[in-house]
Amino acid sequence: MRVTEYMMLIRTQRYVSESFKRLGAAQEALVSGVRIQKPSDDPVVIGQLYRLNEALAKAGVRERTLDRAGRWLATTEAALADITSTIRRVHDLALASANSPMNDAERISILLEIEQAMAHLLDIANQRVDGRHIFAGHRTLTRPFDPPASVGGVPTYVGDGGEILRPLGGGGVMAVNVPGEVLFNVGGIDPAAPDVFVSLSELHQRILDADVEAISDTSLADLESIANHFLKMRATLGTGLQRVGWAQEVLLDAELRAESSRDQLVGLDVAEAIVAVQIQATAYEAALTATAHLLHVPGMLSVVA
Amino acid sequence: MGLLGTLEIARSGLLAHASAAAVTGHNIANAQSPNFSRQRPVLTSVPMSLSGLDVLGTPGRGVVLAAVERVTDEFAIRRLRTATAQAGTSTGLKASLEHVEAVSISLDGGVNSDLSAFFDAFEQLADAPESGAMRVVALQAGMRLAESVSQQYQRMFELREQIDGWLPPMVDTVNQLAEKVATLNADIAVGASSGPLNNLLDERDGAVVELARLIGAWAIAGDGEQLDVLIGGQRLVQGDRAFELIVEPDPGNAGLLTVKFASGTEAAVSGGEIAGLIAVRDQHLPAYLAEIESFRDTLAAEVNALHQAGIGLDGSTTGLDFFILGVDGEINVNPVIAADSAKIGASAGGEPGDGQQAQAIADLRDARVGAGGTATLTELYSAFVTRVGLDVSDAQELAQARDVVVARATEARHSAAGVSLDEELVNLVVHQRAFEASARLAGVIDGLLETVIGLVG
Repeated sequence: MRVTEYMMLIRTQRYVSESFKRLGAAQEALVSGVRIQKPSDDPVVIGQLYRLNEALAKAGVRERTLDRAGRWLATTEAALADITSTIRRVHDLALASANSPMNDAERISILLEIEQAMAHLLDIANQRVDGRHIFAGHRTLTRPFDPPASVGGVPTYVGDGGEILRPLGGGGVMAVNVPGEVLFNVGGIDPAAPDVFVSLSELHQRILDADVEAISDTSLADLESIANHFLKMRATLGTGLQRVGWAQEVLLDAELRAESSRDQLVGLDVAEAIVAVQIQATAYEAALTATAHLLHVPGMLSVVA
Repeated sequence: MGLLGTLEIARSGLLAHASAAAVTGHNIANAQSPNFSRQRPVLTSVPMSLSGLDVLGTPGRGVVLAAVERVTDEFAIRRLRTATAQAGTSTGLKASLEHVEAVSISLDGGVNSDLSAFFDAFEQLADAPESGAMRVVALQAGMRLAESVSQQYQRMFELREQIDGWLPPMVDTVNQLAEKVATLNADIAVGASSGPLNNLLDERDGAVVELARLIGAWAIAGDGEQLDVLIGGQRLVQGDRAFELIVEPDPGNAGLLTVKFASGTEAAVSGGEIAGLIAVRDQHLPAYLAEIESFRDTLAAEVNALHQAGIGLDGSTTGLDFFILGVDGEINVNPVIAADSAKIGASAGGEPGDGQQAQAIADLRDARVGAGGTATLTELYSAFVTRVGLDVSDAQELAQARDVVVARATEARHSAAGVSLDEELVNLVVHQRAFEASARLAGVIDGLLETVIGLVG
């Protein structure tokens, strides 16, 4: 093939320009820190990248969901601890009033304490977390128990039986609330125990009536069943908290894996990128040197002259 | 032969070699002209007699510059034209697809991340469906997603018009080049009988290659030295006549421009940059628009179906669409909901603490609702982005490969027709020496004549 100066010139220009373009691309990758800047850089991994982004976003929001579920369950657990000790105290008071003969002053003092305990339980039942009544079922904006018309009466449940179901991940869901009617066994939903507020109201009336027999025959047994009912609830709740804890661990693990896959997919191996820039810089320098050399090759012109 | 005859030979040598040196000079001057084909002086000896038969004992009447030949490789030029037409098509594709990718797709933000944020917001709403703040967050996420999708659609739509706008100036250039080829054809027809045409032929070759790059033109030999230029099977230039191309809105193609001959005949543009642009405008972009439409419609249908079954915070509002499809491919959040976030149907049963319907919308994230139940919404969108990415990278690879073919074809053309300075300098020295020798011959004959005249004196 016959070679002319012009051919050499356009060839050199092409090589220098391509070499510079490759150097630019290597530098851009290093500076930006990512391997893929636009879809055409590696179209095949786009689907995978979007799926991983989606998985990471979902994990982020699911983490918040689980935190919130944990907070609800922990609040319910604290309420149950409070309820249990209150019921225990009421049981002690009932036992005291059943076992020894009492004068009016003593009976009134016990009565007052039982009334306080009932008021305390009502406070617990109507408590709120983040402005939401946690024992109202789905009616979270409504106070679930209307106070009784008279002291020692039975509060009326105006919530519903709605369970607040939250996803745990992996397709599982769990209720993060206990509706007030279930918690306080309104209407005897749990057949193994009586209605908590009704039993307390009956106890209140029996102490008022000094009906020692009914206290020892019925109220004490009722209070024990109620204590058992709350024990069962605490056990169920404990399992729920554990499930949330496990779900959090699984989520964290999945998040880490997704992050590492994403990093492998689009992240840049810095050492490799630096080497790539150096290689391209050397190649560019070589192209320039070759061009400079070519420009200084003596032609016939210098010989003839 | 007498001394005067020999003096005449010296004169012919001086003239011929001075002219040959001029040809060499012309070559050297054009060493960097892209379309130039080197020229070669053809020196021929002049016979003694007009019949061409030399008289016994006489050498002839010297030398004459019989012609200036244009050295070129017709096959290489044809190859260059074909390669340039193909490279033009892929350049058009590449340039416009890169533009589409740069203008309309972002890997970090855009529809994909807004879709994700939308699902996040509904999952948080399901956590606290009675919360006014969460409702506003969900509403805003919905509005942002709707805006992103609308913008994406709008941008693709505008890109069709933008690319359409690139056509008229290109067609103008084609017309100018066609006119130039026709004029050169005319000049060549006139010049064929009167003198050398080399430079005109070079200029015409350059113009035809440029036409190949722009509109995929090819050429066939016409009458005499003329060249007819064709696009598809239609003549763009015939002899000294160029057929003007025009662009006209095509009512059958959304009023976008179509390339026609001024006579009204449709121009079959199948190559060059213009064909690349038209392919992106009429094939790629409509396909992308269809994919965005499918994503948009699936999103609206699925979210709406769930939302209609949901109940708002007021406990009564139900049956509302969350997204409303507007004109021009737009999608918006239902203005009734936009005006009052309490109307978001987060609840399934109607109670404020029930976020099951919001959760069902958040769960759409993993539901295979698109492409006949085979893809999630994210996958549906990523399939579109992947498609754009693949189209761009394919076009880039094709353009690169074809550019290399053009570079090789250009080299092949230059290998035959290019000017080598080394060759030209050697030729120059040869002509210089021959000129000097002819001058010396004239001097010697002059001396001989002087001697003869001296004898007489």
